[in-house]
Amino acid sequence: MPYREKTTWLTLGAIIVSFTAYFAVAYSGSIEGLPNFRLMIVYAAAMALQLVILGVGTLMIRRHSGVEARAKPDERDRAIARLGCARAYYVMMAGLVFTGVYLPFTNLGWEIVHAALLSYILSEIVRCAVIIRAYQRGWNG
Amino acid sequence: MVEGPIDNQVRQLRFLNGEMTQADLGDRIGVTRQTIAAIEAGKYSPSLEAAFRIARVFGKPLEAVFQWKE
Repeated sequence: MPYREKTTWLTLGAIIVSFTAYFAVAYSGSIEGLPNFRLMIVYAAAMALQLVILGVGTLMIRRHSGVEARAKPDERDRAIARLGCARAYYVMMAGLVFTGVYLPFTNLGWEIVHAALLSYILSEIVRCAVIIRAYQRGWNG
Repeated sequence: MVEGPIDNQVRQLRFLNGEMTQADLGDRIGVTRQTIAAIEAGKYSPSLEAAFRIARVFGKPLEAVFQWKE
């Protein structure tokens, strides 16, 4: 498995684990309005968890990948990364339009914040999935 | 419009050139071993620059390395 596919799996896993933990804790009790220091602390903890997973995981992958990990991304890596960003852009745009144009008329406070977070998470999942698929099945532009 | 998959002779040419490894060829044209493997398997079409570099490494014209699959 190419080094960049491994790091993409790691990114995907870190996002899923940290945000699953965040939403599980956030919705375990009632969510009050802004400012909500409990939720902010939970969010900070989820981000810290994500950073730890990424940091430790990257170190482990680097240790096992050797020379490949030190190589700069080549033209195929860059092309696949562009493809992932291009696909994720549409998901992000759809999410942001829904969050910013529709939700303010029907929902309030944290629901809007969480919808924006969800659109970011979905776009990242799409980006990672497209990259992994391109490495596994090939991509000819 | 001309369409269809592109075939290549990279694997054969590597073996005809002293059993050059994928990593060696990758180093000489500035891509990773995985990219050479993907090109050989038809999973990635290299850029025009990379295709010309591959042809130059083997001392062949471009069409001797890459062809439309009939």
